[in-house]
Amino acid sequence: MNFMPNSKKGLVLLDRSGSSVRVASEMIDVMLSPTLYTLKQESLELKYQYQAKKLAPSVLDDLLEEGEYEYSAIKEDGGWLFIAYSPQEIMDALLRSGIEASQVGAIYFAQQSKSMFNNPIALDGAMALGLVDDVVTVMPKALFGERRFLSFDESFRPSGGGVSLSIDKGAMIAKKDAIVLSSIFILLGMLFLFEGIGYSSAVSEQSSSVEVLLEDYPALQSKYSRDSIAAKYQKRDKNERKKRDFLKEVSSIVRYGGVVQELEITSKVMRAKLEVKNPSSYNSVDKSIKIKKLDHNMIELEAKV
Amino acid sequence: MNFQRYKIEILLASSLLFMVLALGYKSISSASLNSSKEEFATTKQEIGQIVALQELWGDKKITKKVKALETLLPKDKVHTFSVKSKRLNASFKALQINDLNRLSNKITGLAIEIDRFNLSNDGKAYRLELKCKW
Repeated sequence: MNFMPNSKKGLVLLDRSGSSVRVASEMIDVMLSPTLYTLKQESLELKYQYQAKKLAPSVLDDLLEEGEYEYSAIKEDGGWLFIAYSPQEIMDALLRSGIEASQVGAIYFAQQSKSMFNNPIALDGAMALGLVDDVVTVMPKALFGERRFLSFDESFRPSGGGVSLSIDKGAMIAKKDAIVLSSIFILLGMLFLFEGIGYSSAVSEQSSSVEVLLEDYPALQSKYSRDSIAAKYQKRDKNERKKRDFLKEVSSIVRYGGVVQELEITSKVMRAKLEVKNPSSYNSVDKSIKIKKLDHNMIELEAKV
Repeated sequence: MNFQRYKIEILLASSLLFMVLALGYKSISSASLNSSKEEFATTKQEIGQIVALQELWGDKKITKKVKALETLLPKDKVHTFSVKSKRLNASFKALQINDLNRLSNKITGLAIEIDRFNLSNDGKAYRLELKCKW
């Protein structure tokens, strides 16, 4: 992931001495003087930068003191330029120069713009940057005699890309942790998204199934017509079942010796008079049917439709 | 505001927001699927129920079956019998208990609305007045 901004910012030269730097814009890019990095040129047959970067620690191992370093590799004609730099040292130098780490965008190495150092650049009162054997080097000003020192400006910005400070620049969460967390969030988000899309397509399929089902019954397509038809038939079914159940109850009494004297079923009421041997034994019939004892051998059954 | 300065927090917040939105989308889709499944099951059940009721109470051969009641008993027991505009008006006389059982079993087995079922006993036999529609 590349967090390097695309817009060009002010370019400043940063030295280990940390002499005060005037910063014109809020965000700046920094070019490191050779005092803040260690480099070695090697003519290795490597095709890709990641291979060179992987190899950098072993190439530079002999030249570095104890400490934590980050590595960079730049392809040059006839080989690779391996660079080691300490983010902490750069941070310290930035602080000494009055620059906040959060203001820093890209970091370049002076060696990236070596052609610009053919003429010396003054670092402070005593030291200057110049080119020795094609390597940008810090040298005493006196070595340059009467030569004119150029001032450092935007023209020193190299055409290649820079690196970024990989240490926490005052953020609430470390960059590495943030990337890990963000990756987890994005991964989970993608999973949820795919699951959601799956559910949505299942909903569409379900809707199609309903449509296919309703195609076979065009009269039942609307919920209103279904409810109305169902209500019509359900009422008829319920009432007619009640009438048939009443007749069944009467038949069951007849089966045990009862004799029907009268039976009347209308659309509202159902009534039956039966002659039975023992009226008191007919207490328990269907709950919806009321039993009335008329005299010593007559009972009346009544129910509403 | 220096967005560059908060780029890590912005990245983190954006990815978190993406995850939350995706979770919301998933939850809504899942709820929608459940409701759709429920709706489908209800519709299917409703249609099944209506079709069953229609088949029972909308039997197209019912008129023929009702007309068959006239020949169920000997002619002398059928006092009146008329089928008009999906309505039956009939009366039966001199019915013995066996005749009555046959007739009532047949009537209750038909998917017709009984508007009037009036049975009376004159001491020797039964008389039935029947009005139905379908």
